[in-house]
Amino acid sequence: MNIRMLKKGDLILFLGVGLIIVLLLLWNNLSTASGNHLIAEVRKDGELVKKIDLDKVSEPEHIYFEEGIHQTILVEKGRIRFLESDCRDKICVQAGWLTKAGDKAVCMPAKTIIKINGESQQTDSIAF
Amino acid sequence: MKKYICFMTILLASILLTACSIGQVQSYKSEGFALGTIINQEIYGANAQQISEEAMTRIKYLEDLMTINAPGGDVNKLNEHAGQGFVALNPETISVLKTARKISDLSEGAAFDITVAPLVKLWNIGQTDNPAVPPAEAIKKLVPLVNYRDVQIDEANNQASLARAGQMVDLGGIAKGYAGDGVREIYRKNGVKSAIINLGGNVVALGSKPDGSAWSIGIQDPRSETGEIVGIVKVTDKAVVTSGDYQRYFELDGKRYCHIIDPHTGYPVDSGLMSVTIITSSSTEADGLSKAFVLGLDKGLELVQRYGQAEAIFITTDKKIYVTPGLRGNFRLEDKSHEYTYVEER
Repeated sequence: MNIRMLKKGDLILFLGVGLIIVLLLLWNNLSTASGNHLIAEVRKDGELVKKIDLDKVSEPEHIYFEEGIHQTILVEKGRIRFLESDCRDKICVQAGWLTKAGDKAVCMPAKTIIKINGESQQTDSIAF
Repeated sequence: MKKYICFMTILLASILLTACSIGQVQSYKSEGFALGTIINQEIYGANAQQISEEAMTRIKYLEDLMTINAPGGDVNKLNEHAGQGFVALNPETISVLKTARKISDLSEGAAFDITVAPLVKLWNIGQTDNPAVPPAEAIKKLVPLVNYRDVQIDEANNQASLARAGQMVDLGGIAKGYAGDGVREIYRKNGVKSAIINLGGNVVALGSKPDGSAWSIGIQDPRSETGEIVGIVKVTDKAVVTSGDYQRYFELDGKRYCHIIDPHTGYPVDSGLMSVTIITSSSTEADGLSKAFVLGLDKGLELVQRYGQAEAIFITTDKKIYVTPGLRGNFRLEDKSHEYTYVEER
């Protein structure tokens, strides 16, 4: 295309199209970003016990399970973890902090799950 | 005029492309406990919740049938009648016993043998607070009881028997796989085209993702306590099943004793491997075949080759990753620990 053939109207159209694309991209990013709060779920035997917006946690918070296997879950801003558990293998505690969407820690004996909602960007499922 | 058509095309294309990434199909996800593990389902399509519940019901039904960790069920019945002739069993149990036989035959019982149960029970790995190595005498006494050929199957009459008293069957190495195939059947029957189920690490993918792309399945780093992955494979309509030394084990005097018992020696497997992942259509057979883990790298790869329709990923204790030829170009190393080496050509 010959640049010299461009008229003023062409340039306006050019910029217009460019602007629309930029706006669409921005809107797309924002609409996914708004759902991008880290929402943690604590489940016991399949039942939802607590749902926490990790971005809105200001003071560290403990969740205690007293029945059956004793467990403590610690919630801080942007992260959650099993702090203590009376189960045998302590795999749940070893899992450490959950910090990003798709992170999950499970205590099989206590049937407790903590996870951060959202998709793992990398994988659809993990074989182990 | 041409220019305007050109601009309009670009404009339209940009809007469509951006819009596409906005309008993603939603899936239904569920989580439940069965088979002593966690079951995750992800289903695309109508009535997904109801279908996932039907799947859980089926899994629990199969668990009751095949468990030896609770009273009742077919496998307990078979074991209680060891050495006493045939007992009538559910056709499903017969079907699993038959597949077990097929996989055992591939290695003549060296890798996978469901009659290893007396030794599994003796070691009791991952089930006790005070793990210990059993006396050598006790192990020696039980090894001769292990022989998968002693499971006689009378398919026509839905009955089976264990030849000798004291023999025992444990379907722990294949039941999860069978449940995975059963769930996939339920999905298909209900018209689901796209779904993924994870039964405590056994992954079964139905079809592809709704956009037609393959599923990305992470392969766990066998030494990561936080469940990090070492790599990713892309699959469509396949089962991905791993056996390894890290799922259940205990350590004593610096030695690792894993939950998979070598049927020939009676001791926990120590084959120079940390994990074997099998990728094939049948999840039941993938489960059985993943016990190529017992054989070590060379013989294990041979076993997979003999089976013929599977791909595999072998991870050795010196942290090298080997894949079968069909996975070259598919397996992608994603190792945050930077400790693993992907050996593409042997």
